[in-house]
Amino acid sequence: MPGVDLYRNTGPEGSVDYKIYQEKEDKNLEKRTDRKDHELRKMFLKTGVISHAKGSAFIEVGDTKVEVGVYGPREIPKRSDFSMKGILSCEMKFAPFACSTRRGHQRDSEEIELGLLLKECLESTVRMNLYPKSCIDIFVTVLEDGGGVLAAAITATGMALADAQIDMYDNLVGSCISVNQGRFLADPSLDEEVSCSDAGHEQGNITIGYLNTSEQVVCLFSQGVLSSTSMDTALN
Amino acid sequence: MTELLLSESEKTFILHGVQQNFRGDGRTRSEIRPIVMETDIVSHTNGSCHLRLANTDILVGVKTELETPLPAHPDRGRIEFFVDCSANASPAFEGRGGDNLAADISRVLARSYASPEILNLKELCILPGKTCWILYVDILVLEVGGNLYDAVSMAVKAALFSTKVPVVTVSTVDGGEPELDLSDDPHKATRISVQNAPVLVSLSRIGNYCVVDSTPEEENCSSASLLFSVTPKGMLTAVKKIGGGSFQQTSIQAAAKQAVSIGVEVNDKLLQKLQQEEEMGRKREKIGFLL
Repeated sequence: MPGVDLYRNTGPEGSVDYKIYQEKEDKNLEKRTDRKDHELRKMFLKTGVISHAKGSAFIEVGDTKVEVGVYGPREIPKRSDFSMKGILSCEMKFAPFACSTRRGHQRDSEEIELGLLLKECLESTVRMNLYPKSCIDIFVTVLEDGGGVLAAAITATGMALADAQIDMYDNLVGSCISVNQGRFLADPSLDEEVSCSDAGHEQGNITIGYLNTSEQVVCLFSQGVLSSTSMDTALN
Repeated sequence: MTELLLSESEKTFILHGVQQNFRGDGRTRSEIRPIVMETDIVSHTNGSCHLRLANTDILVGVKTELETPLPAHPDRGRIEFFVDCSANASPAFEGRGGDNLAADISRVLARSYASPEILNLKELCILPGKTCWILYVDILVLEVGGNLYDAVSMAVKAALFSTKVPVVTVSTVDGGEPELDLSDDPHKATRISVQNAPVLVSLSRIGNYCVVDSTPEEENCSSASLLFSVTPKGMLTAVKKIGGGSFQQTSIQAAAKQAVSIGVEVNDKLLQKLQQEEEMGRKREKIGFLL
């Protein structure tokens, strides 16, 4: 069985988050109170937060906190992975206390998927041909999920790679839009991202990784039901 | 995925073919290779489908089991996707090699089917908070001949269409524990509505154009692909970029339009064929694996 942790004592299996028994308060999502629809939340970025790593970055956007550490270029551990182009390896992990419901210590399929997505995003950004026979390891830890996690992780990774003095083609930034009943909300918070989609209307989120100067989209990820015209508008 | 070695001339040939809208096997950029499929062939499952898209071979089995619903959604059933890339499909899948790809495919499927509009999970609830049906969709990749995601999604949709969920009624609640009665007639079953179920359409970017249903050689030439999950109504339930290349914003928008038109057509034809197969009745001759 995938994801079964054989080394840790993970506690009783039948435990349940108490919040499901709470009365769900009807959050008024009709209007944003603290900012306009197209405004982003206040952002805090700092590099050099992990002393042991070659490069690192910490980003805090609203409630979302993500930390990225970059190690490398270093020797390829397995001879079989020899490549003249260099390899990137990206691991993403949510801390168990990061989300509303507790996550396990092992990487589940969502974390594996996001790690792969981030890696593919970096393959067009980092000049891998300058690092033959080496590998660059990127470790992303999400300390708190407050909405727009993938976008924050992409931005932080771009900064951490710059801090590690690794050659890249362009500045990498991540951005996220939530579509809800025809409204386009930039940089959604957790409530706006996960708003109840039981009704028949369109509701979804799109995250992109973007290279600024060359205007290239390096990562595209969407969830929820969207029409193609909404996607077009959201990308714009 | 397999060790495909293409020379520079071969790559240039494929590139030119795509530019002139005439690929190696004679198809245009928007044509899909022939598909052969059959449902209801695995006897121990509630629904199954064996689909062959040129050289890509997928077998899907759907089993329904009784389970307690998730505490957060006591009135809904559940659906879980598991993908197994068999080592027969490619030597790269030996041991744990195919695990990353398998996790990726199952995550994309889970996201495509996540919305309540797609699959009405409330129909699968027997007793709220106590019992519900859980659909285990197990996908076995037998051979990889390019265009894995699309083939898997079509096979899943077909298997769900053919799934027969047994009729379970709740009789008197005896001392707190409900008694479940299974109908005596083994052929009496409810079906799952897949009217809104999506199909994945992957577009590989070769040169300046996007092609649908790429062969392994074409996949080798492409820098990146866009994966769109398209419902019969033309809505997108999951979008993802796969591969290491990058896209211009306008290319993504154009690709989305192309994917939607192809996706709607594929959904339509698929449902047509499934209904045709259904009309042949239970007594039809099962061809099985001798496709």
